[in-house]
Amino acid sequence: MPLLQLKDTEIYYEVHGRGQPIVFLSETACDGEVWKIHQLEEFSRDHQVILHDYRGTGRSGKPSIDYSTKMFCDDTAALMDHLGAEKAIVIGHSMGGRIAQLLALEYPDKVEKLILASTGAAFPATKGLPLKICQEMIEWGYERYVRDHSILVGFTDEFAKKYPERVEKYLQVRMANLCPVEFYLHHLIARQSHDTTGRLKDIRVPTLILVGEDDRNVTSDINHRSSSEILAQGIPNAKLVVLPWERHSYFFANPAAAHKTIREFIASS
Amino acid sequence: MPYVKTKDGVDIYYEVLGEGAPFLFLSETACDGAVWKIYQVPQFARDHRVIIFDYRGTGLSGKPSAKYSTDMFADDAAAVMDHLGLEGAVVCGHSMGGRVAQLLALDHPRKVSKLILASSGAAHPGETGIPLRIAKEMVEMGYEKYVREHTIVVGWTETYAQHHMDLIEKYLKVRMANLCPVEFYFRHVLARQAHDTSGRLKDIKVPTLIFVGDDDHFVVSDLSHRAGADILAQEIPNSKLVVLPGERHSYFYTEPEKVHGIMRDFLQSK
Repeated sequence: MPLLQLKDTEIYYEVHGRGQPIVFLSETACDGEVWKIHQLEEFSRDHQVILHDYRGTGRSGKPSIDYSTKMFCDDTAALMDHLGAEKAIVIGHSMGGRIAQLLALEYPDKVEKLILASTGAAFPATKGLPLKICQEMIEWGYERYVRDHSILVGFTDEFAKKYPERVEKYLQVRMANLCPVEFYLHHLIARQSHDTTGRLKDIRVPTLILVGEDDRNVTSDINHRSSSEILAQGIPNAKLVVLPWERHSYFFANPAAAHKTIREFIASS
Repeated sequence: MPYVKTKDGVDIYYEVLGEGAPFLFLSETACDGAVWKIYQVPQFARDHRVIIFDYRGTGLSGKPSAKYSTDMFADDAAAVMDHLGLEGAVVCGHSMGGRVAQLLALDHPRKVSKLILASSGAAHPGETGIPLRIAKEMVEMGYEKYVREHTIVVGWTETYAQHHMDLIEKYLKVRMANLCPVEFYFRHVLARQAHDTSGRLKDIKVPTLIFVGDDDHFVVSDLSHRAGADILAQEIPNSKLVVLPGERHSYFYTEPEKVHGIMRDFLQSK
């Protein structure tokens, strides 16, 4: 298994295909496996696709310490150094989009273009564990919480009803190697503390902002639909694309529209 | 059943027992007032007017799904006393109740003649949100089991628990009888973690008795009660610290004779 040894932990990663590197960054407490459902096949045809498991998830190390999006960003940068990858397309989904912003800010040589999918710059009102999440995890149980929450946040009711097998296929991958609850909570705290609000203007690379038109679920204090607007206003060279009929998880059950938009963005100069 | 309606419309359940100088008891985090009925009410209602009540979010009181604070709990306690027309009470607060008691002395000084701060502190400087450890253990163990096990581990030494499980069970029956929904447990935890009277302790002017078990070293977030009690004793001008040997957090509910005598002496002192 390809493991990158860092000072305080090890990071599991995979590299597929050749060409300009594309780095995929997953959502909160989610390993890199979910990108294998659709994105790996699509983009490894003409790119070097780089996937990894965040610390605390999948096959990576799980130190019991405080995590931060800066730490995840540094882990990603260390992996890119290890692989000699530069000027990559960086695609970050949800919390991964927060890490992608930091990567562009802290390691500008590593990023040629950014794709910020269903993400934001900050949760201004809720630092620390959101009460609603803790309550639901305890009342429903951890696995059921992640499952039900993924469905509710991820897909419209119409889509989940019409394509249950697509939703199930995604959940099989998402739930296969679910991290222990401690690390889900460490990831949540990292995500809630993230704040790049004052730094968006310093993101200089061309940036595509994707968001589902119906991504309005609020677990703490701002939904992805609103936070995407803030990104689009704050990042100088940004373009916002709102995907009709979609919520949070179009990459994993209904990727065609997103892939087309991403392809056009990569090809544009 | 006796209720007081607060200014913001929440019904606070209270009980008054006995005759004499007023004596108010304030419970720990997310705990209703019933725990004081095991030993303290029978002891002190003989010659005091003992007041107990259920915090908002617990017991028989209203449970609004809103943000809670120790200021709010202190205001609720003051509302109960206003309703009863009482002033100058001895106020005994246990753990989070001790934080509420400090605020009562600071912001409602006419209501308080003497303070007893038991196993309490002034702040959790390192952690203002829901501590990860609490959330993790509740998810892993389930809510009720967490409260039960956590109460035992924090409350008594292993040696004590081995020999006196009957006394502990007697307490747990009362503690668990009317456990609040988990949402309100967290609202109380958030209120407790955000409490900070560090800079105001010097303004507490009433005679203050500080209790703490010498083995109350358990740390859920960032500061043990043993360390928290030392800070209170250093900062509150007219205070006296009593360290109880062999005890952790919950001596009131199993070893009352160890503290009742000290409380009686403190009540009589000038």
